[in-house]
Amino acid sequence: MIRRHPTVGRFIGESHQIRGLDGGRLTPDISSIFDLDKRGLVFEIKYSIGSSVEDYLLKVKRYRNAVHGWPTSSGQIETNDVVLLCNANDTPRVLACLSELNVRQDDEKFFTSPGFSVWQWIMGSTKEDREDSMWLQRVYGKTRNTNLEELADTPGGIRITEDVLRFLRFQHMFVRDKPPIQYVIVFLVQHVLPKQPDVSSYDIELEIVYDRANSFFPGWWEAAEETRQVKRELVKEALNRMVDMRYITKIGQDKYQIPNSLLGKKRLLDDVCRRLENIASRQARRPRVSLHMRRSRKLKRPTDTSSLDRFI
Amino acid sequence: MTSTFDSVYTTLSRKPPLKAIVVSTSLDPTAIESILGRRRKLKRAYRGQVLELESNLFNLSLQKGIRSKVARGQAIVDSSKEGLWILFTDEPNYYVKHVLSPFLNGLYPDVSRAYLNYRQILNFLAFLRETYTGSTVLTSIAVKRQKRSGKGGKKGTLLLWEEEGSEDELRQHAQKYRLWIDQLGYEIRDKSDLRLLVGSITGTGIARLRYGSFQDFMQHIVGPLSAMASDWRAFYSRRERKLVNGIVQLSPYAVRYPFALEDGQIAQISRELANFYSFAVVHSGNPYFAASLSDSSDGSSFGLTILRDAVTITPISKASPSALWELTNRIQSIIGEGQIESIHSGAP
Repeated sequence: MIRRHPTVGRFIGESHQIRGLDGGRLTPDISSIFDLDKRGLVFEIKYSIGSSVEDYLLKVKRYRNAVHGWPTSSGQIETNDVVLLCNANDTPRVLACLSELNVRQDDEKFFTSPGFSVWQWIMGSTKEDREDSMWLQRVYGKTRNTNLEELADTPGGIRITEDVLRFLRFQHMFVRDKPPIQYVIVFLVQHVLPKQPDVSSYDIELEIVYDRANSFFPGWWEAAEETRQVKRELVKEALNRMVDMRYITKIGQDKYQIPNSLLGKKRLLDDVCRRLENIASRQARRPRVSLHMRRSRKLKRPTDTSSLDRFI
Repeated sequence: MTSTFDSVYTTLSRKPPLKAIVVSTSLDPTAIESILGRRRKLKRAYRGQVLELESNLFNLSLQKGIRSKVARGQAIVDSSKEGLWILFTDEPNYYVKHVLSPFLNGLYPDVSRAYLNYRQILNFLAFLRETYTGSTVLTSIAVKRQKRSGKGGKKGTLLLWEEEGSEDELRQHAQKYRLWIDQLGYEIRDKSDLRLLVGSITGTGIARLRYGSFQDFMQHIVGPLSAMASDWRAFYSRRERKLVNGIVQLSPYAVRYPFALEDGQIAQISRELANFYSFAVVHSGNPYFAASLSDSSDGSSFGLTILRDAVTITPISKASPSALWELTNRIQSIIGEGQIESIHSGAP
């Protein structure tokens, strides 16, 4: 939306890292700058909000003071506006919680001040083209970005067409949040590990797997060594778990042997989940005794064997 | 070859029709022997030999044991068109059905069949009418159909004849049913009602000549058929996810239907594709179905989304034209034939 409407502001990034007044790191989902790089505008997007709406709103509140770490000449901005984007099903709960928070005095009136807004997203189609789209509608408050507010005043809301949604789904496979391990394993097997049909197995190094997987991560502008290590660890953890699951073999420091049969596995996700469950249940069943104790138990002989001798 | 086939097929006698099979590949026909040596399944079932007759023309001899009998036969492979082979054989239908076709299927992904759906066949028919303006073009279209709602597969064979307005009837059926085309039969007669060309075309890229000049068959049937196959190969080519100057470029395409897909049909796609591909469902539908899959035979991987009336395929890290063509055909064989169209990637 920001890229298609450059008057709204300059797009900075997805999960871009900014800092609060206390130096704490924050990563809103979408960040942008407007008003000659003086003001920030962040979007926090939620597919669905869990049980604690209040905790979530208080978390969003922290973005207001996140004026450091922006890619401006001084590295900071003057003010930061926040838009919370939630599903229409969650909107009533969010609005109810906001009313409660507004009654209280300890919220510093953040939620009623200009610069905080709640939007909702719904899926729907128009009569004209019957094409399903996502619609973004403002339901509470306003930002100080007049161009954005004009856009939000469009009847029906801001329309994000299905092709954009599809593009976003396959543009990047990861966001900053750590994905479930089964997701990473399936992703590596399907899209990253090379297929070599003429051999039964092949060896591959972690670095190569990481390089091949790298383009599926969003190109965060802060491509620091630390970020690289986080991504690399994610891939390494998945490969090591595949070793535990006996999908692949570890043959050296950061080197793995991949059997071709793995790449042809049909119901992969089901199989991955089953194996992970087996590992988890095995770990749960295993008694919590040390190796030393187990050995000593095994070697221990009955002290009194007279009854047994008599029987024999 | 031309003069032999010309003389054989312009005389009235009982004989197997001449079959021309169009397949898509970037290999040389001499590679068949090495593929046969590499693939255990093919090696167990077939014995084959390829001999070069002249430039871009090869003789393929194949034999296969079927229930304690050996079926053997020959085909001539013409590789003069880039990215395609055209195999000619006048062996009986049994040989084509049980030996040659399964063999060609077994060569996937090095060689892939040229699949045509009913819309593409209708385009072909329009071309045929245009070519033979002034002559009579009689056609019959054999289709299998199934009700739009429900998850049943192909059922029965319905034969639509020209006298009843086969094309219009086919279009009407396409509005009411899910369709799968079997074959298009044609009979072209000149002004004095003499037969010029009699044959058929199937949805798997097989053109049959029962009667007529081989040159006409090549020029008006096999030529356009192979041009159509070339175009579709080009459509499925170069669609991988690319990273250009740090920006991701996607080239998705969709199979669009004249009706919204139901939950049962989506579940059927998911269930049946899982038998052929490494398949992982990301979101199981209602209303948006999303899955990622990979073809282990050549390493192609795709994203698959279904929303309302469209099944969208987004090629990911590697996507060979053969794999995309095969996947599209599999989807159509499950829920019926639709309209294939490239879609805007929607980069935000």
